[in-house]
Amino acid sequence: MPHSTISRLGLPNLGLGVGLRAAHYPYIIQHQPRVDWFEIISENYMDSQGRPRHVLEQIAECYPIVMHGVSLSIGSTDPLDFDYLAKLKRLAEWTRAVWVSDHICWTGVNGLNGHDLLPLPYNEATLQHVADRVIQVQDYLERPLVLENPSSYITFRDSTMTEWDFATALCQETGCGLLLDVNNVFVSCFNHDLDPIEFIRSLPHERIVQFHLAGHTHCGTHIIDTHDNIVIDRVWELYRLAHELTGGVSTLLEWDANIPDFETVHAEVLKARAVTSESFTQHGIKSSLHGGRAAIRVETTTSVSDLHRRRTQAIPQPSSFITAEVES
Amino acid sequence: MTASLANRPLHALQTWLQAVVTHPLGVAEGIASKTAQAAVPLDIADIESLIGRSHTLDSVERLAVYGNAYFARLLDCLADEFPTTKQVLGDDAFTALGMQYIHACPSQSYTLNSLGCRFPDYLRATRPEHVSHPSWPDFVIDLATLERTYSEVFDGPGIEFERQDSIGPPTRPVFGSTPSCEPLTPTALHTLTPSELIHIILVPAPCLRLLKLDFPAHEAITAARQGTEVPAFAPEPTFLVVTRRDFVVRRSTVTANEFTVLQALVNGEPLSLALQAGTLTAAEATMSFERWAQARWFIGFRKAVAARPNCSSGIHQS
Repeated sequence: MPHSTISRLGLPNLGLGVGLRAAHYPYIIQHQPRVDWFEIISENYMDSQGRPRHVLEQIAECYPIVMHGVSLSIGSTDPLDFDYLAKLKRLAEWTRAVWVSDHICWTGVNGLNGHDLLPLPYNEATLQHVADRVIQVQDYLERPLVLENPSSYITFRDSTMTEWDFATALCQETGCGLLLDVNNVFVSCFNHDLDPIEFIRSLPHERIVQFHLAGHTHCGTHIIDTHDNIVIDRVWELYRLAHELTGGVSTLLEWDANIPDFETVHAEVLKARAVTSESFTQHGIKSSLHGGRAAIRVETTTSVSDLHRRRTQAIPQPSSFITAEVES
Repeated sequence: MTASLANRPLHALQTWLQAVVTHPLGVAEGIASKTAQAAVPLDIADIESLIGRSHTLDSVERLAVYGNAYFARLLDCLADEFPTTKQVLGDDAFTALGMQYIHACPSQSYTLNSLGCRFPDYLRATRPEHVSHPSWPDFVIDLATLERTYSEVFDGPGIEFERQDSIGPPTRPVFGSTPSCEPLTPTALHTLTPSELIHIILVPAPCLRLLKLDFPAHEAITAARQGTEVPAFAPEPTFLVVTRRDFVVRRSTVTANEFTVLQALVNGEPLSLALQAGTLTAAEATMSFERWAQARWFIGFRKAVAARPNCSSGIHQS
């Protein structure tokens, strides 16, 4: 895929990448598929001294690597974990990570980690708290941090600004970049009765370094960001909008549950080429973009019992446990 | 009482939300919990003063998305690490035990790989006292212990490469690279006099683990991994050696005498004392020694009797 000459924070457009998952290790090592780049979950490799790290070493020799974390907990009121940051920095150096990202969220407090991406109240006090920590982390890592908008399921009465205004201000105050998860925009906007187009249009597009795409589970009353399916058409349309507004940035597909074979995952992200081409002008899909929440239709064929099951389904945590290979 | 909207400290809000969504009995009980009330005094009737509702869900239902996901996600992770334990316990019992464990031992780590590190000890600590030993609870404990050991060995330090630290790239083979440790090769051993040989201290591979179990848990795990139903196993003292070669975890059974010798060696005893501890005959000792060296359970030796190997191997005795 031709790379854009437009750069964000001086970072390149790597093309269309795939989130590296253990289920695909054998295929990738054997076939060396023509993927533009891989994104790794930082925590899966920071301590590894076994096969995961051995596989990563081989992959990092052949592909650009971007590190994506899930436990930085930049919004927590616990002190920053500098042991964690030291490992993060060393892993970034070892993999020659093109950039390092995490989420605008917190994952735990009082020494605990719930391994979930919990939302923040968006107000001035939180902004100052998070900005101070982003600056500390960037100083320590000696590189800009790239932060992602999480999917969320609650809103705080303490919020005095929108999520996009918060992200914009955070970029302005810290110089950090944004990882725009287009699916998360769709999910959060449905859950909070917001307009995803306004969300995307309001962001500082020059700060967007990367896009995330993923599938989700529509429960009727709300959407859960399950990363267990293909990207739906309306998320593709939002992606197309974001592509137009940014000029195109590195794009990555996440698939963390019910993971299909690698070729299926790769084929899904390659759809981005068609979506961003001029021929992608299907009237039905484009028209669904207009009107914010009203445009986000419930599209599910699942039964009530299946919906109930899915409502209690885990929000995915890509920092997964990798089962040991044992030989008797 | 309605919480104040102005100047609510972020720390209090985070403490409150964490207490609410991690409560094992659900969000309503979480809101009423001491931790949550201490952070943000709030009656559930006033929840909308803190958490907004949406067009389709009220505030408690929205919080429940996080509450449901918390246990579901961590139980999934535990099930991935302890599949045979789960199979033997059954889904309901595993879920109940898992939730109790997650509540009693919440994650304090940035990585989910550490989530199950205290699970075997938790099962040990909560074992029914009135049940005779060894019996079914001990079988479950053995399974969890061995499955956790497999995980630790799989992704822990190994002998495939020398690493300067846990992060640095693999560089060169470990043999001979530790100044105080000679490679455990026939050539190196032939340089020793008989008296030197008998007093050497063996250096175990960093991935070597010794486990004394009440049940042949390894056979149960193998059966489960092969997709067959785990049969009922009778108690049988089981001595296991777990290690890793070529990034694959290997496990072997040894005799009680061999285990005693291995224990002594891993604890840094000189070869002479270790062999005495295990009461192996000379022929048995020779055969065992060759097997252990070939399997790379030990990767080097030191002559200095006073020196202790820097060994991270643990021994568990149930």
